[in-house]
Amino acid sequence: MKSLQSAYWAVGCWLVLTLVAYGLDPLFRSGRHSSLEKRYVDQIVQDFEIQKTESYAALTRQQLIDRWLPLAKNFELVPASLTPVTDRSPTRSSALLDRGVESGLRSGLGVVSESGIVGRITDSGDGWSRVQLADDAGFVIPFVDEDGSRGILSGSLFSQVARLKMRLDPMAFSQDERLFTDGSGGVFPAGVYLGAVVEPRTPIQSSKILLPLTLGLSQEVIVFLPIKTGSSR
Amino acid sequence: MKLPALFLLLILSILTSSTYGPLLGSRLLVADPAMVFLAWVCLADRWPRIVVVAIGLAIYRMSGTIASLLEVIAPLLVLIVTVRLIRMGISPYDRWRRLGIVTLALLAAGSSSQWLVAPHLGRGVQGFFADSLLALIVAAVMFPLLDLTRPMLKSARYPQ
Repeated sequence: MKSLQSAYWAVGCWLVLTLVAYGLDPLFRSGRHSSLEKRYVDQIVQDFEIQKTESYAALTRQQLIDRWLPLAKNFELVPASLTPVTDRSPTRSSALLDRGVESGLRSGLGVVSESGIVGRITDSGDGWSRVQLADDAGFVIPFVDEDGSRGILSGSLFSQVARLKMRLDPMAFSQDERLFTDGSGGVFPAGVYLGAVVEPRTPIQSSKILLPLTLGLSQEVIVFLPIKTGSSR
Repeated sequence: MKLPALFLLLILSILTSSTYGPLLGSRLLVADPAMVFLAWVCLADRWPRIVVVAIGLAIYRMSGTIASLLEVIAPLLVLIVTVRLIRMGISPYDRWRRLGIVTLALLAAGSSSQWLVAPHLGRGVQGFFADSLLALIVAAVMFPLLDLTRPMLKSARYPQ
């Protein structure tokens, strides 16, 4: 009987420790908000605050469209709101969009923010899309460096960090060299900022590339929807 | 079988995993409290309980992820098979040896998970030792707590 009491005490202590850690969770997650938290905030703010937020979001979206329109000649730009989520797989990094198939979004489309690359849509439904973020270990994208050399970049096991997966041309990284999309693949237009080389190393594959710092934050984003041949923009 | 107690412990371990996940980051690959719980059940329990815990953990991980089914299932299977194979040669009832078994199994499960997603992302010798140490620490922290809950699962064949 005494050992059974100890077992219940152990479970109780375990639960308390977990709940304490859950209370400290915002400290671990600085800037990452779940969709549930966001919904809760939306419910409690006053009408005036909602209107202010909406007008600000509209302004941001217009600024985003103005920024990306000159680059995206063969794409339709779809604005959306991105909410980061904690992916339940330790190797994965994902987020949710507030738009889905009703806006023409589907798997494989590219997503960018004001700062540059965000990721690629992996799944869509009515009113939602799931995005594979650029720091996801399985994310790959062709790039071009400032010297015009091409390669393939991949995400990593660390937040906001990318690695060189493969060189397509002879290349050597220099400190703070910036990397951009090369426009191949039809997902992103050429010239989208991918990241900067913060630690050039030898071998070059172990160089550390820092992705845009806003990658894991709630923000307004743009989805590149390729224009079908023959359709007007 | 004391299934309600098993479910309670499974939910607690999943809650711990989701709470400490942001702190551990990608290190959760080898130091996931829910995986440590599965390894603890695998050490000296019966197959139906192992299957129940593995299915519960797989369902939790499959919801809300961009990972494929194989990415979710494979590490669980690797963990179970590794623990059950090693325990045939090393006693799972010795408190130090079982930590060795579980650390090896967690490393194998973590490596398989990483290999399936990004085989080109090597962590090097330093990363391997850091992962081993972290897996050992998390297992060493959780095992005394899990051992205390043994009476709730009294049909299991744990030594008293």
